[in-house]
Amino acid sequence: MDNYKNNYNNDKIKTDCREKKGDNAISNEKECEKNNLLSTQIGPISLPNPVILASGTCGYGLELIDLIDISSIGAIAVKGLSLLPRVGNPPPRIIETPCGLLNAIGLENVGIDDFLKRLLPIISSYTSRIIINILGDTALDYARLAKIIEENRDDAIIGIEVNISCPNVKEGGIAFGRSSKGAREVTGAVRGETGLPLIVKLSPNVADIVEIASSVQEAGADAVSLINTVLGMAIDIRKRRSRLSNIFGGLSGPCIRPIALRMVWEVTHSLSIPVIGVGGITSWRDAVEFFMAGASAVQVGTATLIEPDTGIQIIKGLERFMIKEGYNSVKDMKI
Amino acid sequence: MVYCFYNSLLNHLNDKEREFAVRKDEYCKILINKKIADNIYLMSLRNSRISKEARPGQFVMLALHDLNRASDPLLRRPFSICYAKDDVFYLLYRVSGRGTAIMSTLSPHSDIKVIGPLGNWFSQDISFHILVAGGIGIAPLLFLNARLNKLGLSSALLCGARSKAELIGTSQIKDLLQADDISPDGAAQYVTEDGSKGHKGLVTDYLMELIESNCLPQHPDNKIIIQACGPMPMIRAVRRLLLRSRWGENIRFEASLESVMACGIGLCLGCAVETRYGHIHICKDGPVVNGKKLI
Repeated sequence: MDNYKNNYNNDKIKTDCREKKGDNAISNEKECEKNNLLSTQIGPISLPNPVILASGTCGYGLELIDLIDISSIGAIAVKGLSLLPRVGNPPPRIIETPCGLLNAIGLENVGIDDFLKRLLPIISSYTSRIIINILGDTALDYARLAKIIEENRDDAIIGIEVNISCPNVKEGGIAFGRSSKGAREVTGAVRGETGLPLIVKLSPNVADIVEIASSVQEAGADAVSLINTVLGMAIDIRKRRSRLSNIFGGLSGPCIRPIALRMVWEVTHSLSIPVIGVGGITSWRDAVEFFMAGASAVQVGTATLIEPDTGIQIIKGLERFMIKEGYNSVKDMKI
Repeated sequence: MVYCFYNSLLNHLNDKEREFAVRKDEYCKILINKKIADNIYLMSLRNSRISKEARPGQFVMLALHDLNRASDPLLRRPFSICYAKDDVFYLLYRVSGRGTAIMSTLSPHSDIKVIGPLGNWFSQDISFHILVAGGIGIAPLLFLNARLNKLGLSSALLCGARSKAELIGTSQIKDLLQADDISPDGAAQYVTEDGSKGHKGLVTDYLMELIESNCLPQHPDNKIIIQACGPMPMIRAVRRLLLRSRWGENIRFEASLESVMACGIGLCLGCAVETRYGHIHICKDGPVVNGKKLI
């Protein structure tokens, strides 16, 4: 079918984007004045507000442009990118569980080259704060990805998020996230290739999250985001088999929030590295819990799939709460 | 196959249509929500934008969690639009799990959040359309049937179900919706597995008879398309039948597919299906796909 192919009119989109960029630039300036209260610093990364759309739940940003104004979001972390395109796992890939979503997408993505050349110019006309999430099978893959991004530096790329925690692929990903040695190796490899702000996304499927966070800090990470999904499973009792083709999947959504919150607390109360809290945040109240646990920013994931404007609602609610309670920055909220 | 919602969307539309390619998340008021057959319900919702823009084959994502401000059920549910008129659009659904069970208890006048219309749509420019419905798969085909009648294109509607109790009669819907453009019962062919109404057997067996008989227009300028919606085994049976039939090459085949979806808007990549093009995503490359390319 024609629409499987990809021969659309690129110039037309670019023109539309440029026009749109003009409007956004003006509204961005206003936003900045208004949102000083919400601005946050995650190591070297400055954001006008502390809400980031989590990788894997906002596509490449383009999928959301007619539904929300992505320029008003703190930053977007695009779908994890690998050196070569990946097709992902066979279906079924997702299943709903109580207050949660179990997924085994398998890191389907267009590959770093296609992203940088074709998609980034379009997305960067809608938002100037993009975090590139990268993944690989070996430490060398991660290093090469970092090098490619470094060589194609764009003002809109405000950081690299290293995914060492995806539970849905056989090699790589989680293999590095499960041990301090692996985490340190990948972080060091990426650090060696880029001066861009470096965030490492950690897995909750470990015995001691502080140990892993500490090793990536030593290896040169500027911040950590935690948590990625929790490894889980669901069985179809009639068919007597797993509901996911991959057997196991990553659990996300409100059901994992208490786990995420506890892990954020553990890291912020033991280490100095800035923490981005992720896991089941669906409202500004949830976000406040993470700031009270010491997070410098939050990522919204599964909630965006259900309510695309969740991120924007959180920013609004957070501002109202901070004014009412007299907080001057999100970091003031830490308890 | 390269992935990007925006690409496939723009690729699919001409300049005039592009302005409609805007999805919104809006509250819609429920007007009717009633049982019309075994486990089958009809819901009507008021939203003039969706009603005007919707094309046969497109779907909406309904937020059931929003009603009690809770996280349960967590995900929205996708439903094909089964008819649209004035500022009202209709959904036909079968209660099959928790989400649809909750949905069936919603009372008229309540508001429900809806994103739509989503996805692509059935072709409506072929000289002869054969619509093949399996069970609740009739929903998008009723809408298509109405539009084809309006456009004056000839079509045959084949409805299959397990038994009479689960069969949805077009006249029943036509009367409920006061829809002049839906074909009456007499113009549709019914096939039930137990023979309790219409022909006995599978709807695909009847389709094969129809194709192999000389009833179809055989003029070389006349193009034929089969447009099907129903369970995956039915869709695969239609595909196999076309591969085997001597007429198969000249008949196009569009299938509307169903899948569990987390977002419906191209974010999660959860609704992948394998085709000869590689993986495609039902929410943005479908739900209407070239059935011959399925695996």
